This record gives sequence, structure tokens and C-alpha cells, in this order.
Amino acid sequence: MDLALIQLLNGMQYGLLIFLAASGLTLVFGIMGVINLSHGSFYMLGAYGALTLVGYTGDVFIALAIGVPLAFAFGIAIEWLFIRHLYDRDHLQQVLLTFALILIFNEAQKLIWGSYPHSVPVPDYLQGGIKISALLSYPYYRVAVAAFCVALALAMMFVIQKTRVGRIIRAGESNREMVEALGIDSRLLFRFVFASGAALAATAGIVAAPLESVYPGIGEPVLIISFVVVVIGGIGSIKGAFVGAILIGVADALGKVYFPAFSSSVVYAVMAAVLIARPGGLFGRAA
Amino acid sequence: MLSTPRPLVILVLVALLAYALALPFFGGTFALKFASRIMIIGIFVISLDLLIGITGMVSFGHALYFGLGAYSLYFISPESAAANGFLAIPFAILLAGAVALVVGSVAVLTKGFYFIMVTLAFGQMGFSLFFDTKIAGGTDGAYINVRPVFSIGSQQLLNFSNRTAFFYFCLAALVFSYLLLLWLVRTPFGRVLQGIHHNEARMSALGFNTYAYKLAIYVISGAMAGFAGVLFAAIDGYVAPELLGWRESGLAIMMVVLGGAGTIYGPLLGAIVYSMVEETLKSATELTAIFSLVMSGATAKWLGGIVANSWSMALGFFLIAAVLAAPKGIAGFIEKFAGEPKRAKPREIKPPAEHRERAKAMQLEVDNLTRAFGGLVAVDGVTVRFPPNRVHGIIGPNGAGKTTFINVLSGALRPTRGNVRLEREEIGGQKPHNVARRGLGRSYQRTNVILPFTARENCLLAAQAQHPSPFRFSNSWRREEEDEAVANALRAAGIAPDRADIRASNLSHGEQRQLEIAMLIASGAKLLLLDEPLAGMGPEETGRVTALLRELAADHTIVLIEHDMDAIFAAADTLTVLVEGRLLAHGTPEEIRMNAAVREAYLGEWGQEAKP
Amino acid sequence: MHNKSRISRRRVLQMAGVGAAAAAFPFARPAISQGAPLRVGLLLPYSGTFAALGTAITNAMDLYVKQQGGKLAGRTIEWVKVDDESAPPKATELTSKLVQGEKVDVLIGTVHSGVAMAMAKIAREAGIPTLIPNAGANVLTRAQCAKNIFRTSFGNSQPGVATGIAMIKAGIKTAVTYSWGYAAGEESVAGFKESFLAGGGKIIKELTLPFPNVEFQAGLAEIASLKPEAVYSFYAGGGALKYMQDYAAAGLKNSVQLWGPGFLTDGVEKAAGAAGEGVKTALHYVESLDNAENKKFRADYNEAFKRFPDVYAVQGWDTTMLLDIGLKAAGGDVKKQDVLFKAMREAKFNSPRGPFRLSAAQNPIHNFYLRELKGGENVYLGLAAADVSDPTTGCSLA
Repeated sequence: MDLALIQLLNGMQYGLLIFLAASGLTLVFGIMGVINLSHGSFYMLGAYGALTLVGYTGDVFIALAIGVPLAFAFGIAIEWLFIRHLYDRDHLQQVLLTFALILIFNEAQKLIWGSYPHSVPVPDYLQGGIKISALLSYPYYRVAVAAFCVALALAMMFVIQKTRVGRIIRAGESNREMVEALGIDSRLLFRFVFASGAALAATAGIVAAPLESVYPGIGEPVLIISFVVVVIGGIGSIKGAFVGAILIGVADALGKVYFPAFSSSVVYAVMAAVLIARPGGLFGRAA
Repeated sequence: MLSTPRPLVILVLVALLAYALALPFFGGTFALKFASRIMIIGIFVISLDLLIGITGMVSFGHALYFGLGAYSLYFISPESAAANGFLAIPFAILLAGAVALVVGSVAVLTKGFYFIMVTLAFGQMGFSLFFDTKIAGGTDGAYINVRPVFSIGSQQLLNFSNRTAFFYFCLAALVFSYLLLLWLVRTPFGRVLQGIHHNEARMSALGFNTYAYKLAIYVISGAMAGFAGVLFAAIDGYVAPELLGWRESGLAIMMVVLGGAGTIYGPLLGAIVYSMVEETLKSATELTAIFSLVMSGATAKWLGGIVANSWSMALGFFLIAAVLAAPKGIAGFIEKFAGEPKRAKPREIKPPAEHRERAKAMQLEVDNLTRAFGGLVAVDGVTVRFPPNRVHGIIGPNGAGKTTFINVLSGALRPTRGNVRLEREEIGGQKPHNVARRGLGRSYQRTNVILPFTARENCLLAAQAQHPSPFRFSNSWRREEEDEAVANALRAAGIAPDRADIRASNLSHGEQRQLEIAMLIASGAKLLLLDEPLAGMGPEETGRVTALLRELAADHTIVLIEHDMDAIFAAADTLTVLVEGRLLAHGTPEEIRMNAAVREAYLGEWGQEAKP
Repeated sequence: MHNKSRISRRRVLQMAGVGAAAAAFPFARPAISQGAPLRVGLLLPYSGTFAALGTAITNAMDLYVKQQGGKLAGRTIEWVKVDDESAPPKATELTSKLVQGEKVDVLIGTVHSGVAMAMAKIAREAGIPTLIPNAGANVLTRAQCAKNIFRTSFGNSQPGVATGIAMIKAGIKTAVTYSWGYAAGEESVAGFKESFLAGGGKIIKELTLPFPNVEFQAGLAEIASLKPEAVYSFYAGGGALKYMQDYAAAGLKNSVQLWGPGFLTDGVEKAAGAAGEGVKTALHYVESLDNAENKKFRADYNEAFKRFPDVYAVQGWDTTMLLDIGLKAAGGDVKKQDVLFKAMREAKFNSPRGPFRLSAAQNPIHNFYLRELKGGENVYLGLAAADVSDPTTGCSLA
């Protein structure tokens, strides 16, 4: 297979993973207007949770089934303890509070799991890969993760476009009064959305754990790249996050091949270019 | 509008200054270094407050300029000799300012969170440039082997190797920077920045080129961060690429927010408190000393060790407590005890002579105007003329394209086809602030004043928009003229004198609408474009504002959209009826009332209702 | 000994109020009297990516001192720890805090090269005895060497040189390098290139990835298309773990040998699992090294911390050993710098890593061992290169 084609595939696969992490962020941000810096921490907790749960159950998908509800509950707790006090405050107060949460979560991670890197095994039935050239094969687990991401993206778009919950969520986008007018308790909606965001981040962390391995600080790059994807796609747009994530994934993979010296700047350059052309992101309303 | 610091605030600042002045007499080397560092970071964060708190632009890439300032010292320092501070400091300021100009010209195009992310992107690109390439020492940073000296010819005036001299220099720099910013935000220029923070659309509609203002402050702020950076590099003579990275940018934002954005001194307190708390929590020695005040030595040592081990968690809890307890930061906490700010007493303005010349207002012509959104044509080939010194009403059912129509007139939207001429000059497709400069002022459907400002301050901003040079740093120039314009506008719009110095947010809905009109008058607009000025008003207020519109027509041309049919038929000289984006009819109220097409298409139900 | 200062501090507090006290605290230090313990400042990472390394180093140093009854050369050792967070912008300030604020007698640090550069700047100006237990930036013992700065770990290019020699010995002719493109990675690759090219090897391509990026796929695909005999890679910690897993998952493991300096596998031997099987590395330490010091050290360390020591712990151990030698010569008095530094510079001892001595630039001259990861352990295959030293380019001491 052609090298450029392989890179394209790699980029898309990476993009799908970023989408998973970014989707929760764009929901929380778009609907609640909360800039949640601790999103990366939920990803990290998901990954470490996978480490523990796979240790007990032996299968990352069973860990997923247990871990996601736990993460949802954890999200509710965090919203109830901290976030709900800040809805009427300036965005920057939320930034400060969620930054404080990062400090706490990182330290908690160190105390609970220690500082050494760990790996999470790929399930036996997904060991091995598809041969794509003489030397190179493409791991089954990556294929499975890509498929999972696509399925989840479709499910989310369905929920948002076609269901009552979705309509409420769409109505809620940066407009609390409208939600209230529909007779819905916006506090409950916000709690649900925040917990969903946490659960999505943890999902990404759990699914990625066998790919990424698990070590301190894995949440931070995810946070930054997720924000990049969210603004490229347009804040609050799941479709935008999907397109943005694929775009960034591909740009990153190709950047590494064609501009190795500047490859860490490629995603930022892409973002800046998109925002200059469309200041509200690809699928956002004009800012 | 930012007021003069309250006495309590001044007291706090003076106490800090006194402490700093005395520090070299009792503090050791480390105390001086640590305090110098905090003061330098203080300059950095107040420069960021200029963006975040004053102008409302949250930059997540401000460390780019701080880092560039620091690296300037590396670039300009010879291998084993001292750089001259008289060169190094201007070089740092210029380099940071120049890069800010380039980055800002692009970044300022975006707003809100998109601005946060664009600035982050540029910051990270800057970091990569220094981290991934060898242009300045590369990944592990670089040394400045000899600290700068200030010399003229062979005369050495100041040497940064002297810790005490350096400390006092930083202190002076901080005091100077603080006073400079305090002055800057209170100039006409600074007032506009604050206006932009709270209502950019309004400022633009008043005739301010908000892009230019934002870019200007971005450059000023970046240059100041560069100044802080060059001092930072002089503390220990070591610079690292991480100085430009997002962590430093983020940390600065945290300090600004912790201290209280928009107060200038608040972020400075934020920097002090954040650094002190972090420093203390990290040090088992200090924690033990503090704990031993309330418990036995052994327990204190044990507890101190535990807290210091998990210092970042302790810092996290401290920050959460601070956010929850002090919603407006440390500054807000202090100001709770400081009482309401005193505002400068307005000067007495003599009322104008009773008998005045009627001023000729402006004429607006619209020719075959079309505006489409994709396939949807919202305004479709409208041609109409609005002669001067008349009240012109635009009516039509919901979705008739009325608001789109006036958005095109005011420059908020570009026309797809057709022309808009103000006094025979084409204004179609121009930017809102340029249209406003030519004398067209507009109000909005939802009241659009700058809520945290008083009525007078709102009008003062508007009056300031009249003059061609926007970058004004002097208060006295034209002040008298402007005060007079403001007083006249307030009076003309019917705002009672005892209400003029109340924050707009505390005015009634009707008063806010009147204030919006007062702002248009003060801005010197000759043609007023009003979007439902009577919406949400009771009968009494409606009567008052209708009368006001009639009076204003003496000096202005008025074009308004209105849904209150009784009022508009009574107030307007001409009526324009739009239906589905097309011009259905134009004429006097009587002609419109008789127009069969209008009655059929639109007025039918109304006609019955309205007849007594 | 704190009594007096505590009372006066309490009075100050009562007078000035808590706010002012908090402001004064970072500057208030207990006075140091004669015969006080020897205060050793530890500038090490205790949080973030490198926390495990900082902890291992600290543990080993603590173990050494405890075995000596809490004293070195008759002086009680008091650690003053500061978490450097591996953040260079804070590094000079934290170093100043230890040197000028806490007034430590000896400075030990750190892991991160940028932080070490900042620390060395202050340490050189202050002239304080300083030991570097890990950071590998070449320049620290080349152009920026100083008589008071000693490194007990390695220069970044040393493991690269040793790995290159071992690869030539293993008969490898062609290689691709794939490493983090920051200073440590580049210096490591430069060391490798030097010995590999000298031995007649050919480097097909040098691939890099920006630090700390861990998306290896693009590079792996390129390696597969270039078909070298072996790959030389510098990665460490979590990134190294992910790299080995991705390398194996891409199917490259069976066709292209993976080599690197020992950091590739250290600390992640077990975690790497099947993916790590057969990865060959060279390092100045291997767990199964057959010498008395190593056996004792491993047993003692495991007993104390319920974990076997890694190379970082060994470096921590040797740091304390070197300091001990110096202090003994100087009779516990760090003011006698000439004696102290001379003894340390000329120290030769048997470390758990084997014979240890310093070059003129005060960087270790030591053996490198060839290891292969098997069953969650680095298995000793033999000597990769004996007595590897680092050039003293630009060092005024040499």
C-alpha cells in the first residue's frame, strides 16, 4: 500500500480518537457555556480506571461497561460539588475552578496509582492485525476502536437530531431561558450534560488505554487537542467536532511526514487558518 | 467605568509599597530575588488584565510576549559581557510589540473563545520555534552570562548584578506600569476599551473602529509583557522555551482571575497571593513553622511533610475555596469593605438658548436593495427615499424583512445587490463604524447600552465617537465640548438630571431606551435608525417617547421599525410597508390606511382592531 | 533548636497579624548554628511525568544515609526537598530558594535537563557543591562544566555511543533512527551516529517526533517502507511504553530489530509485556549485574521500598556515595571545598553499576551493558562497551 495512503488512514484513525475526547467537551461548552479544563482529567481517570478494571475483569470492553456509568456518576458529583455554583459567574471563574480540579485530580492519581507507566492489555480476540505491506500490519484493536468511534458519533448525531433529549439539548445551546420556557429544569439538564461530558471523556480514556498506555499527565495533550477540535468544528456542534477531529488527525499525520521539523505547529496552523477564514468555526454560528 | 481606586484600596497598595521599600533592609538575598520575581510577574499580569479585564479579550498566549521579551536579552547580550539596559529594554519592548502587531492583526478578527484558542495557537507556535529549533539555545534553554548594566558612554548608572539595585528597579517599573495603566484606562481611549468589553456591537454602531482599538491594546499589552520578560531574564540569566508556552499563559490568567479581573491592582494581588501560597505549600519547612503555632512541634512537622508532599492538591483546594468565597477575586473581596465608588461630579452646563436654528438633517435613499441568505431572499429589490427632518415608519408583518432591511442600512449586513445612499454618498456594504461616522446612528430591538456605565458615561462615549482621531489619550482636549453635547443629549432624550449618574443597569426599561436615543444624539448622528423603540413600554412611556421622536425630527431624520400601530400612525410622517421582503407601499399614514393592497395583505385584521 | 526562633516568630505574628505573617514567611528562616545538621537540598520532580524518577533517586539516597545511621562523615543529614515539577521557568527561583533561602550546604538535582541547566547556573554562581543524579544535557559536563558540579548519571550521548557499538558488534549494517526531536533525543542520536558510522554502519534516515508527542504511527509506517535491519530509538517513560506497544502492534517487531538506550525499557519492563520481548538496549546498569554491591543494594532497597531499584535509584545511590567520599575527606565540613572537590573528583568506587569514576569534566566513566527484555526483565547479555567516557569539549577543567 502507498505510504501516503497509510498515513491518511493513520490520521483518520487518530482523528476518530480525538473526536471521542472532544465530543464531550463541545457539548459541555456549547450547552452549558462552561470552559471545562478538567475534561482532560476525566480522560486520564478513564484511562487509569481502565487499568484497574481490566485488572479485575481482564477485558477492556467489560471495563467500559462498568467504567462509563461510574464516570457519569462521578460527573454528577463534581457538578453538584463545584460546577453548579458557577453558572451565573464569569467564564474565567470556571476556568480557575476547573484548573484547580486538574491539580487535585493529578495529585489523586499519583496517590492512588503511583507515577510509573502501565499498560492495559488488548483483549485476546483482538490481538494481531491486518497485513498491509511486507512489514507493516494494522492492529485489529485500532480497527475496532475506529469502528466504535464511528458508531458512537452516529449514535450521538441521531440522539441530537431525532430525540426529545436532543431537541432539549439543541434548544439549550447557550440559551437557558429558552430551556426554562420549554418547562425543563435547566439545572437538571446541565447536570445531565456535564455528567455526559465526563462519561464521554472517560469513554475515550478507557478505549484508548490499551493503545496509549497509562501514565501521569496523559490528560493534558488530550485537553488541548480537544479544544482545538471544538473551535475548528464550531462550539457546540457534534458534527463540527467530528469533521474537525478528522481534519486535525489527518493534518497531524501528514505534517509529520512532510514537515517533520514543524510538525508540532501543524495543528495550530490549521486551526488559525480555519478561524481566520471562518471566525465561528466550520459548523458554528458566526461569533 | 473604572473609577479612581477607593481609599481602602490605596491604603492596601501603599502598605505593600512600604513593605517593598523596606524589604532590602531586613530580607535576605532570596527574599529580594523572590520579591523581584513577583513584581516582574506583577507587571506581566497587569498587562494581561488590560486585555482580559479591561477590554474583555481573554488571551491564552500572552506568555509569547513575555518569553520573547526574555529571549531579547539573550539575543542582545554578548557572550561574556553585559548588555546595555538602555538597548535591551527598548529592544524587548519593540520585538514583543512587533510580534503582537503581526499576531494581533490576525487574532483580533476572532472573538470570545475563538480568540482564546487563536492566541493559544500562536503561543504554542512560538514555543515550538524555540523548543524544536536551535534559533536560541534550543530545548534546554540558554544562558545570559552577564546581567545587563545601564550605561551612557563609559558612565555606568545601574548594574543589574546588584540585587538591591535590581530590586528597586523592578519596584519602580511596577509602580510606573501600574500608574501608566491606571491612567491609560481612564483616558478617552481607555473608556472606549471598556465600552468594547461590555458591548462591542454598540461601540461599533457608534462609529468606533473596534478592530483598530483592540489591535492597539493588544500591541500595547504585548509590548508591556515584553518589558516584564526582559526583566525576568535578568533575574537569573536563564531563559527557557517553556517561558513562551501555554502553562505560563494559563498561570497568568489564573493570577488575573484570582486577583480580580478589570481592576488592574487585583491581578497584582493575585500574583502575590498565588506565588506566596504556592511557595508556602511546597515548603515543609515553612508549613512546619506555621503549623507549630497551633500544635506540637512533632505533629506540625509530620503534617507539614504530608501537605508539602501533596502541595498541588492543597493549592487546588485553596483555589476552589477562593473562587467560591470571592466571586470577584481578591479585589472584589477588598472592595466589599470599601463602599460604593465615588464618581467625579459633572460640571454644570448651561442650558442652550431657547430658540435654536433647526439643523438640516440627512437624506437616505435606497435603490433596488436586495439581501439574500443563501436561497432565502429577505429583502427583495426595495427602492425608497427618506427625506430629511421627517419621521419615517417601517411596518410589516413578522418576517417581512424589516430588521434585515435596517441591518443592511446600518452596515451590519452587506447588501447582495442595490445601493444605499446617505446624502448622495454610497454607504452600502461599508463597515458599521464607517456608516456611523457619516452620521447614521442606530438602536437595537433589545436595548443595547453599556450596562455597567452610568447614563452620562454612556453618552460621553457616544460624544467621543464624533471626532475623527479615535486614539485619544487626553481627557481635557474637547472635554468641554463633549460635556455640553452629553448634557444636551440627556436633556433632549428626557433623562432626568438625577438619573444621569446612575448605572444604566439600574435604570428602568423605558429609561434605557431613552438613553440609547440620547447616545445617538450625543454621537452627533443626523439620521437615527430605530428598531422598535417603543417595544415593552407602557402607554405613558409610549406617549413620552413618541413626543420625543417628533421633537427630534427638528434636527434629525428618523427611520424606525415599530409594531405599535396606533403610535406609529400618530408619530410618522411617512410609512413604508414591507411584505415578504418587498416594498408593498410607501406614503403618508393616511395614504397607507386607504391603500387597498396594504389592507388586504396585512392591515386587515389591524384595521378592524384599531378602529374605535 | 527552633525554640527561640519560634517564640519570636509567634510574637511577630501576634503583632503583625496573619496576613503580614504569611507575606513574611517565605523569607523567614531559622538561623543555622554551628554543629547543625548538614542540610542537603533536593531539587527533584515529585509530581508530573518524572515523579517516579525523583522518588527512586530520593529513596536510594535516603536508604544510603539510613544505613550510615543517618549521618555522613559524622554529620546528621537533613533533606530539604523541593518539587521542581520539571518546569524550567520556575527552576532558577526554586534553586535560589534552596541555596539562598533554605541555605542548604549541598545541592542535589535533577532529572529534567532544562531544569538542570537553570540549577547549574545558580549553583555555579553560588559555588555550592552540586551533584546531578540524572539530567543528561551534554553541555553540563562539557562547555558549562564547573569545579563544584558533579554528575553521577551520564551525558546524553554516552548511552547512544554504547548502543551504536553494540549494534555493530551484533552485525547490524543499516539502521533508521526514530526519536523525540528535542535536545536529549538529538544528543542521544548524535552519540549513536558517532559510533555506528565509525563501525561501518549506514543510517538510512533520521526520523523525529516532537516531544512529548506519542503518535508514532506515521514514523512506524515510514520505517516499514524503508526496511532497515534495525531501528535506534530514544524514548522514555510512558512514551517508551506506548512506542514499544505500537511498534509490536504494527508488526515491525518480527522483521526490524528495535534498539535503543536503556531508557526505552527502564521502569516499564513488566508493563511492556509481549510487546517488549526482544527489545535490545544498552545502559550503564542492568538488574542482574553480578557484583556484591548490586546484590546487597537490590536486597536492601527491595526490603525498604517493596520494589526493586532501577537505574535511577542506582544513580541516587552513587550520588550519596560520592558525596560521602567527599565529606569524609573534608571531615564533614563543606567549607573545605578544595579537599571536598578533590576527593570527589578522584573518587573511584564499586557501584551497583560496576566500577565508577569521573572524567576531568566530572562526568562518569563507566561500563555499558547490553540487555534484552525477556519475560518482564532486562536480561544481561554481556558488556556493550567498557569505560565509556564523554568528550570534555569546551570544559575549562579538562
